Amino acid sequence: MTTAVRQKNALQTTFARRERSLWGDAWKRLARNRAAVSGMIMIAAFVLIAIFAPWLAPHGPLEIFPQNSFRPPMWVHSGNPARNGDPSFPLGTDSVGRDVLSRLLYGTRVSLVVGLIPLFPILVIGISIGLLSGYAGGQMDNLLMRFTDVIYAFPGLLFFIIMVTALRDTALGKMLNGLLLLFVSLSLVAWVGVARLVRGQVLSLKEKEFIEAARMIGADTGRIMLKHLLPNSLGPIIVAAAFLIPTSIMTEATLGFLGLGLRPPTDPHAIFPTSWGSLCLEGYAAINSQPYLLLAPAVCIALMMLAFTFVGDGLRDALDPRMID
Amino acid sequence: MISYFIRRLLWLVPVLFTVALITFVLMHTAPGGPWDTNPLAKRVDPRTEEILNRRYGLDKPLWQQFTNYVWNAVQGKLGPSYRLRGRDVEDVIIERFPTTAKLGLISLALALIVGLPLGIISALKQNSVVDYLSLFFATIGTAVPNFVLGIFLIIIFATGLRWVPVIANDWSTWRPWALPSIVLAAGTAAYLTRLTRASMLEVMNQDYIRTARAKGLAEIFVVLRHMVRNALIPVVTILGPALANLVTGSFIIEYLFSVPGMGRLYVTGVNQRDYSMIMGNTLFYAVIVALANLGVDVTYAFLDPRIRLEK
Repeated sequence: MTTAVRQKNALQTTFARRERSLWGDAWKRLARNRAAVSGMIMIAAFVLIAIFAPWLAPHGPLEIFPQNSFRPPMWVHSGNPARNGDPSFPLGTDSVGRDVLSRLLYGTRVSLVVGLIPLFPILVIGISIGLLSGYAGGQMDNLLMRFTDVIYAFPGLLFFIIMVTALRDTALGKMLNGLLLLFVSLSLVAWVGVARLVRGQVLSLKEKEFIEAARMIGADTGRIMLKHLLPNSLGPIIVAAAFLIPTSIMTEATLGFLGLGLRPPTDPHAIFPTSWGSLCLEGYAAINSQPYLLLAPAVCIALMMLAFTFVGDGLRDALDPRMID
Repeated sequence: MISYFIRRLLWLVPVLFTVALITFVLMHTAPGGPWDTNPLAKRVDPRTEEILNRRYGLDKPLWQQFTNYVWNAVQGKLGPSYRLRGRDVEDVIIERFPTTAKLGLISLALALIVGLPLGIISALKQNSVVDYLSLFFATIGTAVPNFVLGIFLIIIFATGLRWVPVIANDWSTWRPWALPSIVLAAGTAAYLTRLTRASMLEVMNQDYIRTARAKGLAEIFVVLRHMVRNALIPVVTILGPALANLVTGSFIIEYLFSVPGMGRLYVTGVNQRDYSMIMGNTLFYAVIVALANLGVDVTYAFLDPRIRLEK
């Protein structure tokens, strides 16, 4: 590089105005939002816990200590030595003597996976159908939208319950301890909201001048959809996706609490040994004698839901300050 | 207006038909029939099973079972329950629904009493302590799943303070209703607060509010007559689905608090593979949701003439 060029570069960097993009601005707004930032930190912590659960957990999640069943958390001292808290079981043990803290740490995995994985099929199906429906219009639009109307009329949780009950004992229901069935059920319902959203965006965008211009210079339909319509609808889609995560997590917890969640694994080294919803169900059986068994997973669910909701709210405010809900 | 209403009403037919079809197909792909729920129990002997199947029409081909079912359902007959001996599904629903509806209505009333004033006040005092507190409450209310909230309240008020029974036997007094209705109301109250606040903030900047103030109207009338009245339009339209949500979403709460309503019926029906009970309940719920959605569309069309004129 010659000195002249270097000087020219230096001049440019000195005098060039700092570039500000739409996404950069949104990111700045998000980073200023204290709730959203704390939500992101919490999510990062949950992710780390989920990954490093085997190192963090004091015991195996399925390991049974028969002498130590129903221990309270370590700070509780009841007088009866067999019912005192024990530092080797920081949050106590359950009815058969499994360590509550270890089970909670492993439970993080299920909630995160259930929140994040179904997002991909939901977005792919929802965006494709929304783009198609909005851009094609006419009969195609009518047909697709009537179809989404039907799915909209089906109460969501009812559908999940029927789906899981019906297919629980099939090959699909047994894969990944039943997690796959849950992913499929969630995806089948949740794409509808995304499709409607994208369709609405496309309907308002496709009359705009820049689409007309693109069509005039000979851009084909696929290009207009993917290069012009999709990027311009991305804001609302990201916000919708951010709220889909806590909804999925809540659904899994609810189903788990109804006894329709994860199938209890037989393999002691299972990746997904238990979920917070199932832990709530187990705790519910001992609600009078050992309320902390129910309290602990409930607190975890509440914290994770709050974290994702904070980030969702922050994204909504950052990407579209006018949007109400 | 009337043709719009009729068109929307007719649209219910394919919607409900599809809901029935999906439920029917799913229930019948499940391995195992209604007579062998417990794998450890003695199997029903083949002769009895045959008689049972004939009695309930399960010996016919599937498509015929479905058409029979739909035909009867149109006439309000949802068939005999497979589990509750000698009971018809529609009778059981009629018996249980009032409890669920009562819980839903109490919750909706609670949500309105809390949500509307909170939304209005926090909009009027934007960015004040009240506003932040109500936003905080609204975030918690939408984010925390209602059964988790229910768990917290049970542990505090039932097992801790013993103000209300953990599992109630007598539902004729108000005590057992308190916790489930508060829990059920929380989400809706939070949603109403957010919606009312946002809607108020939008209305507050309108020209007609300035006009009202300019002509010297007392502030209280500006707020009540001009702001609140207009701000409530979007709120009114969500009441239908809100009630539908409360009614159909209550089964986890009913299960948690042992409320003798439809939701518990549904959960037990699912566990026992009571096909006719599941089908009947699902259809009933779908009708409620569909009617609620219809209610919103009609209210909107009534409030906003532009929608009526659309195709």
